[in-house]
Amino acid sequence: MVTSFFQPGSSFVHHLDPRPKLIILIVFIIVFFLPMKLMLLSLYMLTICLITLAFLGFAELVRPIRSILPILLMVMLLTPPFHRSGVIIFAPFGFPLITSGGMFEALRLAARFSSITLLFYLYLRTTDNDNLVLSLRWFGISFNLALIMTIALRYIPYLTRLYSNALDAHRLRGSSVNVHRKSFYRRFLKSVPVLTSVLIQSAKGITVLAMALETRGLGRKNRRTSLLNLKSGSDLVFDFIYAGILITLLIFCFIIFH
Amino acid sequence: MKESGKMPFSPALRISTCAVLTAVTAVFTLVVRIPIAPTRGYLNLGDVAIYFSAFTFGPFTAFIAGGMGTALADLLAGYPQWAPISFIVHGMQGLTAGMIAGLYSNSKSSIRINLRWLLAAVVGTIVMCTGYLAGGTVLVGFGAALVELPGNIIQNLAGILGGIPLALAVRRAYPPVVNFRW
Repeated sequence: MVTSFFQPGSSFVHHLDPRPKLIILIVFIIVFFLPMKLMLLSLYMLTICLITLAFLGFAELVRPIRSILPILLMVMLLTPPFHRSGVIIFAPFGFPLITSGGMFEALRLAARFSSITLLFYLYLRTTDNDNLVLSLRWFGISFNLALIMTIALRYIPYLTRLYSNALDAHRLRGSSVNVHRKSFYRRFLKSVPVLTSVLIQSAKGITVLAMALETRGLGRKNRRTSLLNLKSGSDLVFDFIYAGILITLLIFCFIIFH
Repeated sequence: MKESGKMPFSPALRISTCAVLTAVTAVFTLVVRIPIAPTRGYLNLGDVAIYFSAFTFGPFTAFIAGGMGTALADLLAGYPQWAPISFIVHGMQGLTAGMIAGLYSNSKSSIRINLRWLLAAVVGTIVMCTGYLAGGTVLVGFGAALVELPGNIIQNLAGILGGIPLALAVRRAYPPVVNFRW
């Protein structure tokens, strides 16, 4: 099972500090929700596509777009009927089903959704889980929330194995959870004992985990130290300068073309 | 730490409760899937974990476990664009369901408990479906968001059908679990 979306690499985006990357991500998303011409939105989308293509390659550009193709298709098919502005293009039985305004709105939504998907993909593909949590901490997320996130990410593979073991144990006792002939409801009922076993084991693990955290000093008043740290010094300054240049260009284009 | 009786709620216990339930929600969303024969699709059990957390561990654990668990599942499954919406919507779903389920919690009648839980799950369903419709409208437009609505309702019904029996079964099989509620 996938426990991280991160793909190790040596590109410029990989080396960029996660904090300026997160700022760029947030600024881009805010800009995408501002009212703008379709041409400018397409220009932004093209820029993100080119960045992905240049630093991650063609396969990494196609992968996220392929995963959202069904949604994009739905957007293109179902958005026009809800917008009646503009020139009527198709009106069966006198009902204006497709208008130019509806088509533009569908294209705008599809471009925005694709761009946001690519941005998130680019960020997560080039930032590992530890750096992601540390950058969120730097932006003010509480230590407890960050710790919950870190522990949960470590626990997911363990719980997956636990579920798999419980499933095998129940199968050995004659329970057939995944038999396709059975009705959905019966299959669902058959899975309840397996899930109960997983949940009881998980609940029992809570006290053990709490004791482990207390042993490591959680809840004490002493100054907290950190095993993992984000980079600092001139590298960080340069990363922020790069981010600043990109954001300035983004806003400059927005003002010029708007 | 004792396994029975009311336990003092230390920060470590709160953090570990939330972390384990977050992982449970993520695994129930990502891994535990029940195939639906006619459509050849799958039904994930993320909502089962959210309702289980709300009824067993209370609103705050359900808020964090529901919100963060589904957001992590979105991040790991390759749909990170939905993660902020999932965090807010499923978090609110767990919070409201947990708060309603906790009302008049001194009652010992199992029928009352079940009715309260059912009401909590119905309100949770409304919160989740409305939230996803609103979030989806912002992200992909009203038309595409509306298509997701029946799927969300079915997912929630499965969550109610699974969450209530699971919460009752776990309470019966492992009674100390009621002490983890806060």
